[in-house]
Amino acid sequence: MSGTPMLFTALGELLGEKAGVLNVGLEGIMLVGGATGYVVTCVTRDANLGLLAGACGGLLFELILFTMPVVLLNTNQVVTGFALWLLGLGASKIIGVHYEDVSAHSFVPNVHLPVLSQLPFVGAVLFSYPWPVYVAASLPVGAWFVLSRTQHGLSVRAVGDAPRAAEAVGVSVRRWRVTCSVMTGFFAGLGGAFLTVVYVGRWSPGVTSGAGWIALAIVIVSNWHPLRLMVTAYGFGVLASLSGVGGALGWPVSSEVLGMFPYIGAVVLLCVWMWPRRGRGRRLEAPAALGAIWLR
Amino acid sequence: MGVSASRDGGGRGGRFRRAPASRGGPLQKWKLETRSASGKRMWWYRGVSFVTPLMVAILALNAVGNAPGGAVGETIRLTFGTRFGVQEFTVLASPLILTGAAVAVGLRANLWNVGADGQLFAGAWAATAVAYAAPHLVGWLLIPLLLITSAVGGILWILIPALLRAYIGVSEILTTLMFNFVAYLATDYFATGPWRNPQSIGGAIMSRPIQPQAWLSNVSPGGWSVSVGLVIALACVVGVGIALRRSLFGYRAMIIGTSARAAAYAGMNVRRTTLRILILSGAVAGLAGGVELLADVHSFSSSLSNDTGFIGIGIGVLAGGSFLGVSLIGVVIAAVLALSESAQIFGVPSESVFLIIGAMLLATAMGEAAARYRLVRRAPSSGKAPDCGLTRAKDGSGQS
Repeated sequence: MSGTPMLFTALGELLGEKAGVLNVGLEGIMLVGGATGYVVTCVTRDANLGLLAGACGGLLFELILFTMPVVLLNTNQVVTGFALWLLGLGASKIIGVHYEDVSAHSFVPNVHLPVLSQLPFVGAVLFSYPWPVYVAASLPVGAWFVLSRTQHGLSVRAVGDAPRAAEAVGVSVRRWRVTCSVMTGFFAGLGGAFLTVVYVGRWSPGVTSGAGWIALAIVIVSNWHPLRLMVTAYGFGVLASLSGVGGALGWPVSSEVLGMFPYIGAVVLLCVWMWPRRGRGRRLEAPAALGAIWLR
Repeated sequence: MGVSASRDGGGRGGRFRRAPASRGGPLQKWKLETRSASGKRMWWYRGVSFVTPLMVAILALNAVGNAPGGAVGETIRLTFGTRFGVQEFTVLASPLILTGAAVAVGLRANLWNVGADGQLFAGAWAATAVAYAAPHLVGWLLIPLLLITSAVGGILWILIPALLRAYIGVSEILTTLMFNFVAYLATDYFATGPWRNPQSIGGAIMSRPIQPQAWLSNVSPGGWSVSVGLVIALACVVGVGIALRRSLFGYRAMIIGTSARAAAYAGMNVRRTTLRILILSGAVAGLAGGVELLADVHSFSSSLSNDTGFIGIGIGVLAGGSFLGVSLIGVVIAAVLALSESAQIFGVPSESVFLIIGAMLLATAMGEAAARYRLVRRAPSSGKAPDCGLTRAKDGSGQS
């Protein structure tokens, strides 16, 4: 379950990157989505509404501050992404300023899948989760299907890999980039909202602690493939929950050291994954036009 | 690329129809066209876009603050009009300038050292370790030793990401960033564990202080009180800037930043230079930690950095590769920070500084884009081939 926020965000970023938009401000969007979602949850006492609000907040945030400058005005994607992140830090704090340490008094109930959750051991562990978790688990499959088997998915990939070719056959690069970038914002916001409303249950300025950045790493490590992304995200979720689990089980290692595992794991994973691809024979399946400027 | 510019619509199967030339919809009415890049214009746009968010921010702070009408004036007086205020300001500016410089060093070769924060802590960690190990060393020997140690600490912390980037090509953005978080956790561990301050009231993440003879104090030119840390920072930045501008090493770095492949063809050792640039970057960031430790906090604590490393990224980017710019912008940002700290008395939230810096970054990015491109209304063409746009594209590759 701790992998779910990262899964949402990473998937959103995957969609954006497949269309050639690199967004390094994911952490900022998650923060804004988290803050917005939490505030709305506190105010309306409805967690579902809060989740939706967080997603929409992320969407708007991204749309105004990133999609428009980057896709329409051709600003440098990396710099704008950083700006987005900093703005997210500030904006989220201001949004959530009255709600730190305030309990939301509402939670998303666990959904017990009808038959599967009755299974003796596996049932409780695997099939009794809040509904967003199921959504998150099925999204990569849906994304994989759309991206690789449908016409719209082909358009997206064309825009990311060979924008000139795509434009030449009538696929509007700009339109697809806007669409995918907006979806990045939506999912990242949703991931952040899930984090604050469901998983952590509280808002504090640093609640994401790097999850947005890990999502970026997840996208790269999964070689831009939705299904692999799902596995990777959950792997990170496992690593991230090590410190909590370790504390509870009384392991002899201090919690800080355990807490380092997701980050070290990310580095190790990147390293391992890139090792065979060093030098000339790189077979990154990154979209070829990632981050490139599109003049039409 | 073999993209044919001819509009043969039926060729590729009926699915992707040739779009009509004069499409409707707001997205297609305008198009961007490259403009001749004039250096002067770039700086003009940059300057304007840099200053505008500041002005807006000041006005907004004025409106939000509780002291009606006088918030800005009072804040400025508190920050810059008092001896203590100026001193605090210089203390604030020193590590910022250094981290900004660290990022700028990397940016010269188009390498993003996002881990300046972690290296700052690593540098402070190394300096603290040495300080604890030599408690009776005399001040004028200890201080330079500690500063050097902190630079070494920063180097150690960036070493792995640097190696990974230079030899395997792993994105340094991600690796340095991850190491940041590891550094935070390690700081918590050391400050509350082995180096714990026995007198600290519970809750503060702070180690026991280092010996007083290592503390940097202030110099007093003409009645003002300026932290020695600022002097060190400025000296370092000037030194590094000159070194990079004038040396073959710096030149190589710039070429690599522009095109690694071209550099390789020219016979440069890309890997070694990448490694060295990153190491230099880490050293400067580590030094920031040392300065912060010696001049300000005096113990190994999580308050050594208030996202200093990340603000440094903003500074480095805003300065656009100029080290003089790093100093200036570092000073400006420090001023903004100092002002926002004072403004807290008037009810302005402290995190608003991120908003300001973020807005400045965004505005600068937009300003650059505005300087490079111009919005042109797309003339409704009557089915002419679009080769005109393609041949005049930025890369100059004619494709007709």
